[in-house]
Amino acid sequence: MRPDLDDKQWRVPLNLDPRYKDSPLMARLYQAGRQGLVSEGYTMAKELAIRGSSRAIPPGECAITSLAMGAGWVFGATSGRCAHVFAYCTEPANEVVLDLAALKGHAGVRHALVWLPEHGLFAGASALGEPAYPGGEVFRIQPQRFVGSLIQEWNPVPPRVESLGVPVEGEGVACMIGDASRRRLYGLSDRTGTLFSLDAGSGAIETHGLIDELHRFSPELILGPDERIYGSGTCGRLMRFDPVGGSIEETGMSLPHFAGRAQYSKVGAWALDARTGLIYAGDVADGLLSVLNVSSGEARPLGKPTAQPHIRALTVAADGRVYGFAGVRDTIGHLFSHAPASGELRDLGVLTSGTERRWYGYEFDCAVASQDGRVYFGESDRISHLFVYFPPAMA
Amino acid sequence: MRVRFIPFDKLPYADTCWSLIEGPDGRAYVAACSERSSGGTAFVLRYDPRTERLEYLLDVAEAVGCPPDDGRATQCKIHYSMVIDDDGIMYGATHLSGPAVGEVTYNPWATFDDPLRSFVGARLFAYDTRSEEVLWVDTLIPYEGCRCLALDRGRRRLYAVGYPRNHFYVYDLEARRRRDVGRIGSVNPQAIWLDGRMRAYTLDDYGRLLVYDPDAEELITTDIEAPHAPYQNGWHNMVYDVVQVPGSDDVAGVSWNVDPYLFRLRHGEKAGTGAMRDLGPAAPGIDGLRLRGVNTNHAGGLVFSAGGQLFFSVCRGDDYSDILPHAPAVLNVMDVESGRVRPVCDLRDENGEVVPYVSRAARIGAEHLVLGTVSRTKAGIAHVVLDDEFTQGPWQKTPRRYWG
Repeated sequence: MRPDLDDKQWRVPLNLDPRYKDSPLMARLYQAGRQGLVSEGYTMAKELAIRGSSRAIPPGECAITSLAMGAGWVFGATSGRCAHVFAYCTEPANEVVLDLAALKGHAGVRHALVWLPEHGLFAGASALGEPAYPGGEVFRIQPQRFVGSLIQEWNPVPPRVESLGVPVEGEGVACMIGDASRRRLYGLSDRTGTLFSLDAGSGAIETHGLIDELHRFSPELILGPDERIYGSGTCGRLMRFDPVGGSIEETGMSLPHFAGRAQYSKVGAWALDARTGLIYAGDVADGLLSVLNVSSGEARPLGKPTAQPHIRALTVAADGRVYGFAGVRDTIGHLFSHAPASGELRDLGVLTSGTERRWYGYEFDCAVASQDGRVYFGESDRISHLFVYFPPAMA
Repeated sequence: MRVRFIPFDKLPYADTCWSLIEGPDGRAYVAACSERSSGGTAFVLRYDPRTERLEYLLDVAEAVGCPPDDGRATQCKIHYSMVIDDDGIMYGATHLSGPAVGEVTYNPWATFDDPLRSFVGARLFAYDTRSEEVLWVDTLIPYEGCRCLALDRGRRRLYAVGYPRNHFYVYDLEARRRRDVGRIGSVNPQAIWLDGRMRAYTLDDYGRLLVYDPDAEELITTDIEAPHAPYQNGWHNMVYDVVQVPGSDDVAGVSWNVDPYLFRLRHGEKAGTGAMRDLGPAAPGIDGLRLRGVNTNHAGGLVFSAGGQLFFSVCRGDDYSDILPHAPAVLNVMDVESGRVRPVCDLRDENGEVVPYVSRAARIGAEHLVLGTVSRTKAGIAHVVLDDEFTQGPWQKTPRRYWG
């Protein structure tokens, strides 16, 4: 039916109302409405390529789902049609991304990339939703130093890639962490949540049982300050594996949650502050950030840093500030920070970059921090970049 | 050459017109948008240049069940997302940016999935232009606006790009099902077009040709690039407007860029192939040194004359002081074989109304151009009655356009 416009009484829009049009408050309202993109610190979006000289890891294969810090390197791994492992060199003259390896037959490496300085880089593979998947292998990758610089006449040497086997037959690797002092890797399988470990030297694999008998586990592990391995199960129960005793046990701690929502409680990401021994945990259900003290057994909510649920990436920067990313998949998530000294939580907005590529970053699934103060976020979109974030100096 | 500006007089808060397309009935269908006013919504209008009659057909917000006072960002516009099948059924998809009643802006980066305030999504409506009935309504893209739309009549599907996440979508009109193919960049292309095989094309952030192959159901990033100025690296060289070259399967297009360039693309036999030809700058003489915005020398409103010459309109942004220039845009005509361009007229109507920006154009019959316009003062369309020199030739009817 055609609209009857002849007699329509139009309401004067607020912003066109002559009474308010030039009001300072109106200007303030406009200004407030323009915010939302990250406005502090400095960001670079690095293409996953030797920029200008090679093709980037292709769209659909480049969602960064794992990051690991090495000395002078940030290592990353992707998910998509085919998982890739890459290295970003942080030296100024070589500051590019090298695509080290494509892990054929595997569609993901999710929170499962570990750098152990004496042993190399380890990637735990997965392929969610593939019924005939034989299982996710753990790969050892030995990146090689290259001669020259990436400015002029570079000659990178392909890395050595070897498979160390499948930790749990028919299952992918849900997550994997490293314990350098024990020279071991610890991981969970992605269907049953079976805890496994792998000797970094010999490649020998052991399994240690289920992290949760209902398989309602968070696909996350963390090495605690007490050198024990922590995971999370049903209702956010914090579980512990003691490599000495070899058993999985309940800690008596649980992830903090909103009233009545314990059943949805899961760890989306967590990070250890090695100086304080505190573990920061981001929850999936509501985007709540909490701090866990495994020595005292205390779990304390710090608050909800953004309006969105699902904390997907978390890391502790060199100065002790906590940086993370929250947002449901297929939406637009926000960067946030927490300053432990003041207790302040800040929603920093959408992570955007004007350098190396002009880019809005909407989805991120992992983060790491380097000792020089930089924070790295792995974008996980059809087209993805490694975001290098330089936080502002602490006030 | 007679230029007449036709304001949307019955819509006092309409401010832009992005979507304009010829229907099979030989009339122009137009979207009147209201993106800068609190609670503004879009309307579909129809203009017959032969009778010079403008009809107000549809209150889009009402039609798609999203009243302007529901607290959410409004159904404020239809961007390049109105297509009409040969049976007269229009498929229109809404776009965002208009603030809710009582608000002054809408910021999807801050409010994307807000349960109370977010844009509910690009609503898709099927509208029978003959019976003037809305046949059905669906959500094409949740939370996002629809920047551009194309119709594959044979496969009964639509192709779309959403805003702001810039994902490419395939929508099955029979099953009413959407498939998200994924993100294609940071900046929205302003058009998706089709070749004779019904492959869907657009350009990415760097002006690289993207091809959706419906047989393989995959999106291919090609190494074919749209031309750009030599001092640029291709950034923001997405497509703005594209039109089929009469008598061929080629298209002519223009980029959405500072210093936009025109191009002609010959689609290849194999998906992902083709030949791109540089037709030169739309506004020659820009050296890249001065401060210019993307709209300073914007070019749009591509349509072919009966004689096979390409009309396009260029903003004259030398007095650039705001989003839009003060001066009238220039209607140009190009011989696409030689690339030779000459100005036809300034777009200033007989009453002095200035048309500084042209979004889309349709040719109705041999002698009428209808232009979607964006003006500093009034929202409306422009009607250009062509001189005889442009009305002669083998293409008395334009090829039907199935993309916005």
